[in-house]
Amino acid sequence: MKRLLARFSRALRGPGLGIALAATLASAAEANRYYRVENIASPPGVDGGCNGLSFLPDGRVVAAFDAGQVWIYTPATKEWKRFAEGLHTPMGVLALNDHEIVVSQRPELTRLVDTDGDGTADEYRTICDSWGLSGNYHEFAYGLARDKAGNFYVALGSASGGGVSRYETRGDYKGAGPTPGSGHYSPSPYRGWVVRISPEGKLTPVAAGFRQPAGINIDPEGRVFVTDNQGDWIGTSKLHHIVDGRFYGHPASLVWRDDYRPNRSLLELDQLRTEAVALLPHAILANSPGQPSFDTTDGKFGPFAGQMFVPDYVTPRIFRVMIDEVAGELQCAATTFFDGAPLRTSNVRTAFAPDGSLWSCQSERKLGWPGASGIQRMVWNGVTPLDVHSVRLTAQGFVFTFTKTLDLSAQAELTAAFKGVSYYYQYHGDYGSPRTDIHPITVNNVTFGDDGRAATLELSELQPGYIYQFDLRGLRAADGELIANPLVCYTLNRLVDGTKVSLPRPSPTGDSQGTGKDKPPGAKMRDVD
Amino acid sequence: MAALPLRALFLRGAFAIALTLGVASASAAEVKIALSAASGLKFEPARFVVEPGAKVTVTFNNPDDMMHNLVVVRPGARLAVVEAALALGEQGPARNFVPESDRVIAAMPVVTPGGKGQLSFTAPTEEGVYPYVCTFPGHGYVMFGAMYVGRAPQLPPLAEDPHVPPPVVAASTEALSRTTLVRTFLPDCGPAAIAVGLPGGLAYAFDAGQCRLRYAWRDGFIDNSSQLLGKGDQFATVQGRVFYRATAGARLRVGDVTRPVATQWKGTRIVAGNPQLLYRIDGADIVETPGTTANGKTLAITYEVTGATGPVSFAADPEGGAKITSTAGTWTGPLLTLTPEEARRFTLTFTEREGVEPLAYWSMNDLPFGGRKDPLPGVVGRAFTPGGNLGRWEVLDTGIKLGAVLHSGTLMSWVKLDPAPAQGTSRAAPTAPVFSADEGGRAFIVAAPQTLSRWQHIATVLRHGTLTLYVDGKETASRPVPPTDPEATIRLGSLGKKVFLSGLLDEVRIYDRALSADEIAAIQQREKSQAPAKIAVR
Repeated sequence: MKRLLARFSRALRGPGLGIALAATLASAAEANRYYRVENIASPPGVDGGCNGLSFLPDGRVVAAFDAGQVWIYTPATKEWKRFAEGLHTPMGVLALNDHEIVVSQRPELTRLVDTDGDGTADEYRTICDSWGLSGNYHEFAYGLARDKAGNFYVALGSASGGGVSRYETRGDYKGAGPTPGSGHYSPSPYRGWVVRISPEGKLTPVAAGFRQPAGINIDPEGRVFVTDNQGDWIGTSKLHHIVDGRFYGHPASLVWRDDYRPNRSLLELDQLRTEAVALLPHAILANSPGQPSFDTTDGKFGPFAGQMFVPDYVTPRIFRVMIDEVAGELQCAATTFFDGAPLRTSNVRTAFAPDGSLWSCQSERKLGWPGASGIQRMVWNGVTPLDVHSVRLTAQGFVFTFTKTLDLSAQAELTAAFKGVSYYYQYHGDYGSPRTDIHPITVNNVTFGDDGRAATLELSELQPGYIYQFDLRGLRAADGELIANPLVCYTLNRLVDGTKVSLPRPSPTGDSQGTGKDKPPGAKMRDVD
Repeated sequence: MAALPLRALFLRGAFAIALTLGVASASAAEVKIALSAASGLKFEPARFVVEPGAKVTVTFNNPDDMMHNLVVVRPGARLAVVEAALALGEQGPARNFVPESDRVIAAMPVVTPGGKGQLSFTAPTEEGVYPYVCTFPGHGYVMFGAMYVGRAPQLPPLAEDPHVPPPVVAASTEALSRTTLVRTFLPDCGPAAIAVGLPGGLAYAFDAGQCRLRYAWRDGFIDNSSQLLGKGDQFATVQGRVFYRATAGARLRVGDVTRPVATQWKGTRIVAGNPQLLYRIDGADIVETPGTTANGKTLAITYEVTGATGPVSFAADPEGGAKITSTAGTWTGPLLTLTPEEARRFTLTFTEREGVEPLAYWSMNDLPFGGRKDPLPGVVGRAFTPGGNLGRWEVLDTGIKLGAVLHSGTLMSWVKLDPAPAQGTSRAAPTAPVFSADEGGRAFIVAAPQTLSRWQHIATVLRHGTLTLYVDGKETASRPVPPTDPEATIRLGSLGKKVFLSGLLDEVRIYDRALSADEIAAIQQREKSQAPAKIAVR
């Protein structure tokens, strides 16, 4: 406890406007009161790096391993059985039923079929291989989601300026772009796109503008969500809601659009793009988000039914997204969910099991992106943490609802706990962005309703185009519990009347902080991945 | 009384340091340690020894393409410090990823790629094993070493030392018990590649983009560990000897061969334990079953073609590394033609013609080096820039001992020297080494004549103690083979790891037989006529 307090006070002393690091906020010990983490042993003889998780209705787990194999795990007996092998960097897996499993691997989307019922695939049918391959390492085929009509969705990673194209490529080839070595590029179709693939294998490019869209999934309402990773053109990592035909910000992929023009101005690109529904502040909330999953457990996983959970690669963290809908578009608040050991780093995929547990798989590349490998599952202990359950924008501010009743006997302390800063990330070709135009959030009034489970905030100002990052430390429940995850970041794209930020943005009047580049000041810029 | 034994112990300890670690100097009061970053997130050396209380100066050289720092921590505190560094989050960069902690003994700020750093500190007085680690996010789990503090510590053998990173586990290359398909990146193949391995040690590279066999080898399968352990642009390594490389025409066609080939990859299946490759060519469905002749020694691939609306053909290369025979169809010279009925099921047998394919070949199109700059064009496809084109050195080690070619062998390469080699740098060679083997002090060097300024082909034939040099297919010099060390390994484009040919190499072949002048001229003529061009399939 003493150490915990020391960490708190250190964080409070932190940089000027009190942006504190989430990693120091929720200790593992606290989190463990609510959720326990269990390690799942990897299949015998297989390196644990896993990039795809899917569940059969009977609770068996389908896992795609980096070593190119798909295995099926029976939790009751803790036994693994190999279903397929020889795949090339599988990055997503989806079990259609107990004899058909679809996997997105580097060169293609493949349907693995067990035709004779022996539990092993004997057909590896290529559904679609019509995307391009330049051979650049970052051309992952991130997956895998499927809509109600049976179409598959794959997010195609752009090529990294930190790597080369092969001499022989597959598909059209448009070269390394104007400035190899400085950013991600799209040498082959449809690098930096989300594509839809019909059950018969016809590929339709859906939306452009992604750098490394490492996670894709479709929620129960049929909405497609994609995460993208911070880097050039991506000021901070993001969560996007995908709508056909839109452009999501990274311009390299525009080269495959019919209306492509070189040398579009920054303002033109900024006006062309659809903003993320959630910005995930770099090194504060997430560094490298993966595949979202949706809590369809009807409460078996605790108080967050229906919400979105997203794994992070760089930190040992899973974060949670709360969807708000404003003027016909989604915009979200995000908060940490589980942070620190025993959860490992290198989380890439999450999936909910039929029993209501949340599974996360981890995949390091020992000589590329070292971290951790394996599979873990998180089980709710039945104890409800004090957490923000949802955040809704109003004309004057926000309404926060909580998982349990606040301690209304200390209203002055509760009121003081609603504090934070607002800022934005710049849109530019540089790697990452500083947090720009930082201002403290001025809360004029807080009223508590719903028997202490809701707080209505009136702010002196709401600026569209800004992140509202709240630090809710100090919030206490009636049962004495402190808030488990006090960091809440609301991405305010629109006011309730639909007003958006006007472009170009005016010059900032507040400070900038952080480089967003994970490197000491003054060092030469480089693409860290 | 105690002084003498102690002194003796210390001397023994110092000797061990110098012997195993190559430390420049060591005295009781001050010790200098030279560390450097090695690729794959490693410190070299992975451990060193200092006396308790010694004044230690560590110099750190970072030739890597990543940023690193160096933090010396208390025994057993490595992971705690690494995690504390990660928890610095956004403040990490400004703090050089060094957390405030009493577990940190000394810390060197981040050293950028190509940079150097120095760190001076006093070694703890308490004996023990003190880890040093790079706490740059993600690195600390694998990039560390051990500082042994003691007067004469007993060091376990490096491979068994629990305080240094374990060796990276390589993939198994054991013999296959069944036909095995592995999708991976293979050199000299399109990016949608399948390694087909057969029991008995035969294997081939199937290009799923072009739907055809690219090359076949014997005596092993693949080592896929580089592809699996790195970021994913490294190649699986062919284990064994390539005996056949298919020319562009050596593939199935259906109907009019003057039309561009139309292919569609359809996937694989396993029938009665045997994997099959499924694809369409020119509108016909093909089922390809990899196999061997009954004795397992010869590659025999069975094709089943359905839906052919015209004759099925295959153009063999009469000078290729395999003699190709068919169980059906008619040969007109090197061209095999089958009626649609004959093509319903037939087997092509690929019998090695010994000595046609070299012991090793580098097209230089797919080099094992990553990086951010496409390789430069060569005579055919891409070229190799000895010393690297990325500002860091890359040595192309062939893995072939000089002894394999010394009595009968041929070394050949296309060479293009820079018109004005960079002056005053150690990388500008006084000679232009194309092939060298210089371990053991007796250097064997094949150097390019300094007059080369355009692409020229040089070949060296070793035969019965005589070395003959050919330039552009013509003999130019002959002399006795100098005394050499047959155990030395042949390198391309460099002498040692310091002197590099200033220019480009391409189409390098090493034969374990002495080629005739005619053979050399034919290869030179064939490659000269192939213009470098970026090719794209489909």
